[in-house]
Amino acid sequence: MKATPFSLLFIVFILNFMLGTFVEAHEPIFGIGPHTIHKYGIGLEAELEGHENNRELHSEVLYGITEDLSVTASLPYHLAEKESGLSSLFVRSKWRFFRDDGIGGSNQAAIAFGVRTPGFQTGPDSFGYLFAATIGREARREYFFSGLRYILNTTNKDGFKPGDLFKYDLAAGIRPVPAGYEAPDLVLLLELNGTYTQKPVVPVSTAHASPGSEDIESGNKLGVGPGLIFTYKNIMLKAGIDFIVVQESKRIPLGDEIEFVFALESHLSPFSYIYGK
Amino acid sequence: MKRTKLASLAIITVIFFAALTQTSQAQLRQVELRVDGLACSFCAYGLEKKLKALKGVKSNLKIDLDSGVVTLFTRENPFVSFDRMLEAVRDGGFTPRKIKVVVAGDVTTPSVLKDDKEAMKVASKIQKTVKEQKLHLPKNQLVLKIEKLNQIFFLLKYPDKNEKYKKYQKSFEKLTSIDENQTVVVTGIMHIPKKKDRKVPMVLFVESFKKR
Repeated sequence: MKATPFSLLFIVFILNFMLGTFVEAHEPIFGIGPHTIHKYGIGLEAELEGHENNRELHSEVLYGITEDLSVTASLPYHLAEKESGLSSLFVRSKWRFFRDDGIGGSNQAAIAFGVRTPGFQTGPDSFGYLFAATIGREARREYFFSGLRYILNTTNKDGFKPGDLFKYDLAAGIRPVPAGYEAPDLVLLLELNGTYTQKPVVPVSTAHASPGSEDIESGNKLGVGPGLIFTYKNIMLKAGIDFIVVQESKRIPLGDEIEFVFALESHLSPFSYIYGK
Repeated sequence: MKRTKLASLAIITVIFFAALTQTSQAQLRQVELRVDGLACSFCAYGLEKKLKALKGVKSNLKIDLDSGVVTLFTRENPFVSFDRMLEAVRDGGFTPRKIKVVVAGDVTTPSVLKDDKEAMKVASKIQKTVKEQKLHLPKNQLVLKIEKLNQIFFLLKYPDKNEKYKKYQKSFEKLTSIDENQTVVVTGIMHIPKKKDRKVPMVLFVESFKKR
């Protein structure tokens, strides 16, 4: 069966109802937050993200080694007019090193490290490494998140090196109506997502083959992303659109004006029986 | 030969009924966990799954997000372990802050403590675990206990200095004056031991009690 966005979303729904779920809290849609899944928890996420002509369907599996240390494996499926197929496998580990819990809220901080295998954008042999730090506050009424991410790309066999990325995010959220337990819950988010993209290193042979590729420049772009997170019991739907409002140069790579995310998330707790023993 | 068999049967029967009597001596009826870090129903649902997985916890638990209170109703058998409860909350990524319990049982003299020496040992352990509350632990504060199989709750008076606990202290004093082996339903706050403090006596600060 061909993996389409809707078939994968459907599979996540079915697994969700079959296995019973355990879920974690809210996170920014485009940025990164400090939450980790609970100990022994397994999470599944299907996320469709991209631009008008360039989309990716991410299938994510998340595992909680402890309540503060989790590992995520993400396999994007690239959907484009010219070429479609599996893209870079991304494995990330997050460690929540600080947590201050209070009644109906929590302040947290985490760091993350990840590795991305070569894929569509990078070409063969170019690995990417993620270094991230994030803080967040979650409460009954309001949310706040901030994150910094540095993606270090390596040079591939042909001498091509995609530009490194430095991402800086701020997100604020509000729950208009604090929902009680078992009631549908809506959180509205507004995110400010910045990216500094470094100029890629293009070998002379490639530059000749694709004229204009050497003209790509370094620069910043800044997007504003309204979004919403809707939850009902153990089902979470996330949706957001990021509008680029500031772009230093038209020659910055991936300078699309609108980016979107639509995701369905659920976390499973297959090992919860161990608590009964 | 026949007589020996009959005698054995009689002994087994006596032991069986003695055990039955013992198990009916006390029961944990309700537990209110104050859990910090619960901000939304999405995460609370996960905690519910973990707590319901505990043997001895009934499925009708209640969660109040605004106060962070999770109310559990327990089965008489098996006796739900507080360690497991706290572990489930901690592993879920939350912080257990307070446990309020309603427990029914017989109030007796400290017959579980062999002598004064052992009483002092237990007193010292309790003092160690609740030291941040500056509790006075003279021996006479340990005279009440509720026993359930090998579960013993040491009933204590709230710390003297705090004015708002006066009514609870009066309640505790009344409890000390009731007859031995009287069945009571006690409501109290349990001291939460730290993760490393295993095998510390279970301490219950008495709020109120009812005779049954």
